[in-house]
Amino acid sequence: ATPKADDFRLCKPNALLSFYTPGLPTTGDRNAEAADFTADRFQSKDTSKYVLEGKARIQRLDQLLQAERLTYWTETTAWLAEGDVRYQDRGLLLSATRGEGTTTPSTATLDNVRFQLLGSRGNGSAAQAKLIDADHASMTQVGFTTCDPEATQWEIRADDLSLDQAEGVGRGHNATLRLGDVPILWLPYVRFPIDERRQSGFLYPRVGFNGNSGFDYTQPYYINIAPNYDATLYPRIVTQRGLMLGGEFRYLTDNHRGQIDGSWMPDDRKADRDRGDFHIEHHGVLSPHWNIAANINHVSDDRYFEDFGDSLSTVSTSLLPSSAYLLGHGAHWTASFGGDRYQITDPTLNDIFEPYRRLPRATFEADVGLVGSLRGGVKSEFVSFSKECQKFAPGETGVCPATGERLDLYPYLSLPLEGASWFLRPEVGVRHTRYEVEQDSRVGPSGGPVVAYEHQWSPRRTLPISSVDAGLFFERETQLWGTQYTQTLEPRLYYLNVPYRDQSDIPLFDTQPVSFDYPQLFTTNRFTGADRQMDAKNLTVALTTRLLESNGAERLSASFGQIRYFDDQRVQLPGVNATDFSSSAYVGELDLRISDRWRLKLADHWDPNKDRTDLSAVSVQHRFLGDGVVNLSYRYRRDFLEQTDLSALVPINEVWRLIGRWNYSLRDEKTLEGLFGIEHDSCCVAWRLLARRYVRTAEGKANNALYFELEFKGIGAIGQKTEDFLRRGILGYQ
Amino acid sequence: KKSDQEQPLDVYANHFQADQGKQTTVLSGSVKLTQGTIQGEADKGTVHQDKNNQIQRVVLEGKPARLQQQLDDGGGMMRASAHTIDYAGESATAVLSGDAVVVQEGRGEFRGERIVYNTASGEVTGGSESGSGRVHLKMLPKPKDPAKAADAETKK
Amino acid sequence: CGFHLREQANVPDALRTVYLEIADPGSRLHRDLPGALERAGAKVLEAPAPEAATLRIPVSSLGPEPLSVGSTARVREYTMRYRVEFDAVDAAGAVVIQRQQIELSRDYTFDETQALGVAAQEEELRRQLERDMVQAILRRIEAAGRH
Repeated sequence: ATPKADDFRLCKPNALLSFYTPGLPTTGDRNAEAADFTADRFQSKDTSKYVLEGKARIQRLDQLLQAERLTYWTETTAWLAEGDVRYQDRGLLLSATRGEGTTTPSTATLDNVRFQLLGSRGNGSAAQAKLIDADHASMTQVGFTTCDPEATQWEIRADDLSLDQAEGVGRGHNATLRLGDVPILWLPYVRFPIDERRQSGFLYPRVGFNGNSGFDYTQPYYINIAPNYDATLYPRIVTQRGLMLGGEFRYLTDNHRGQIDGSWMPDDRKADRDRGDFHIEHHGVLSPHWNIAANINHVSDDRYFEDFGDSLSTVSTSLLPSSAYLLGHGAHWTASFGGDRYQITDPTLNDIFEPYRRLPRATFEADVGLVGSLRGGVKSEFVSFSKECQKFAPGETGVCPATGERLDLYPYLSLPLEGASWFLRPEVGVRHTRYEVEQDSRVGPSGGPVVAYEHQWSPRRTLPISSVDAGLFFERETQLWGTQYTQTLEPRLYYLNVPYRDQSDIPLFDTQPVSFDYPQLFTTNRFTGADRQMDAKNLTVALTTRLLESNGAERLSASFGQIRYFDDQRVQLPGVNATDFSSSAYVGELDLRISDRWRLKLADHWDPNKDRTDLSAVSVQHRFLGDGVVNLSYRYRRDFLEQTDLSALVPINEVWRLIGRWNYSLRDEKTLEGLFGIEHDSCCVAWRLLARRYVRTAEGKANNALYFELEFKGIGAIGQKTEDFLRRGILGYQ
Repeated sequence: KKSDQEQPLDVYANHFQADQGKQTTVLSGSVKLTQGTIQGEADKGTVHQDKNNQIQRVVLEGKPARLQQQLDDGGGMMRASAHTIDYAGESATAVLSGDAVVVQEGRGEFRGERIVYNTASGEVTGGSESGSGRVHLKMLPKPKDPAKAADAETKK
Repeated sequence: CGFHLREQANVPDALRTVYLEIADPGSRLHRDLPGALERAGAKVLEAPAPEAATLRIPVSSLGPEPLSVGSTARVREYTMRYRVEFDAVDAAGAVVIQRQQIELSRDYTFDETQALGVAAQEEELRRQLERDMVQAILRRIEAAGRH
């Protein structure tokens, strides 16, 4: 959970502000201004010395000095203030027992000081404070904090501290960071931001402990290089493994922005090898029609995420995608040119399951109006698939995976006719797919010498695809639960005709069955990729109804549909059980927003042929008390998974929040993830304690982890928060 | 100037009304007072004399009554005004009360309910014992060099 | 039962001529929405113009998120989630459509042994969600036109 940005709404207004006099000018040169003295009584023996007594005040431009007794020497403009001394200027507020200084040049030295910065929350006390000019002050024996003065939950104590409000930085020596009265960090030299500006400096340490790696401490350091460049270093200690250095560099120019980050652990004691990962992300606009987008990832080994991933979603990544594409778009066309690959990051996944590398891969799609409503277009793709063959031991026989190039062209004509209450979209096209395939193999006939053999062939497939998509829109006004709705009824028919072609000689590069879902009722191929094109003589019948509020928002949408097959499905995938029934499963979906606080989602696929449910999923969400939320969901997919998932964020009050999650797998009778977290927020310090138990390894071994995050508001940019700074600082930085 | 002390103290007015018994003379109609470089003006005045008719004190009242004197150092002028100015020639002290203002050119201004100004030493004391009224001083910024001081003058 | 064919619903008059200001200009939404708006009676300009209203889509995020994780700590199902925030102001800057959010999602299974077609499947789901999003935004705009 990314911590909230620095907000001090839980803080009381600062007590020192009681004597603050608003409305003083904030700009101007102090040395050129006259000084006003007021008091109950004053006395001046000769014209060079004045003594003011009784609530004496000197006010000049933004400086206001008050004391019981003030003495002023006109020749040297020196002054001495005694008794309940209070000083105020545009940046600082001080109370002291005694003070002296000169008005020209404007200097001041005060003793036994309590101070409050006006530009930010910083306040504290000091034995002595020297005010050098409007923006610079240096103090000795200092205590600095952003908490309420009487409730100092944390404090930086230093022998000396200089506050530079022009640069927004505090610098001190021999400093200790104290939480309550417990010193938790000693630094010979400390430099920290004292206002909201982006500052290089230490970010909040992330402390964790888990059974698999031991104690885990990360101390990020943020480097503000330039308005549109910044970097963060993540030195990290994992006790059972070793030292690791992570780094992140972000850049933004007019047309390009991106991020490069990585981490490196020279010698992981537990896995006794080097570990590390890197990630490059880049988005660039090359011209009005061409962009570039790259997302390159690499990890050192397939257990990297298991050992170093911190959230369940990173730990459970089994295929790490990398891609880089030139993307073109025009009024009527899009194109892409580039490549992609996947790295296996799941130790139990055999190499044969590594997806093919697609390099190069080029696509071109165009759709243009011809005459009247008749439109013509083409969808085309060229891909070169490659994959390493396993190493053969001498005498070992075996077959390498096929590799090769594929060109898939689909020119089509469509006649989309639409009215307010109906639509009719006939489309007819020809799909032509051709390959150049080669496959190496090692063959050794019955004990004879092993012969390397390369088999090449060029399969082709050409078939027409014709479909008609038609639908009507009905409406009526109805009253439900006392509010006015527009209910729609949208029947839809989809007829598809694709003749059968024998595709057994075509290798499987990137084709797999698609999970059956409502949109599947209206697609021309139930396989993804071009290596298989299903044969079809189908008619899909579907009905959707929606309850629309007055502003068009959907209070409820429910859909129901089924495909009726008039022919058997003859194109099948090897290794996937064949489908040979007359109609598909019934697909039903419901998404209901009962009120702004309650939401219900329902999905169900019931297979009439085998009278069983392929999928049923129910999820309920309730929002309450501002950002409180509770989610409960049940998911069942036949032979795949059956789980319940309860998650909640409960704000008890302004200060305390509870986070919880329990994800249980009924099929394996095991808890997949249990999570309990407490968040404490207060005026100037926030901490988070998170206890987690989640399945970490592919073998199902669980892992207990404890995370603790401490945040001192106001003195250090929080790692995630720098995003907000950057976004505020640089318009348009996403 | 310090030398004003030795100068004769003269008082002029359109009308005189002496009261031998109390040894006071009430003056009215553009009352004036001079002693060396000291000059005073008021609408009304009361002169107190001692037994051998020497002027002891002059009380000037006006809206406001004024008093000015040339200062020893630098030749700047001291101008004062108040509702009543009680000037005792012998002790060279003028007690201004009621919106009292004393301006020492080139150095500053003093305002308050009651200001005591010593015309010989230039000592200024302000504020009443009761502490009811507040006293205000205005210190002009210390000019960096004399030339600038001259500008400060003309600008005011 | 009271159902009748839907009448011709049009874009509100204030949005007759409109300029589309969108977060990621390369997206299909940026290419398909103008066509849909034109079919609903609006005239979409290439560049901002003083007399044109502005349909602003500052937030548009489309991507897969893990939905459920199996007992082997591997993602079993993903959700392709498309979230858009938009509002519309007329030429004078007055708000025609309040800022609102639309979120559409499609779940799909992920079996790493069958991971061959992952990218192709995700591409197909993105396309379907983008088509649905155009309809959803259009419904909101037409509803604003009706009142």
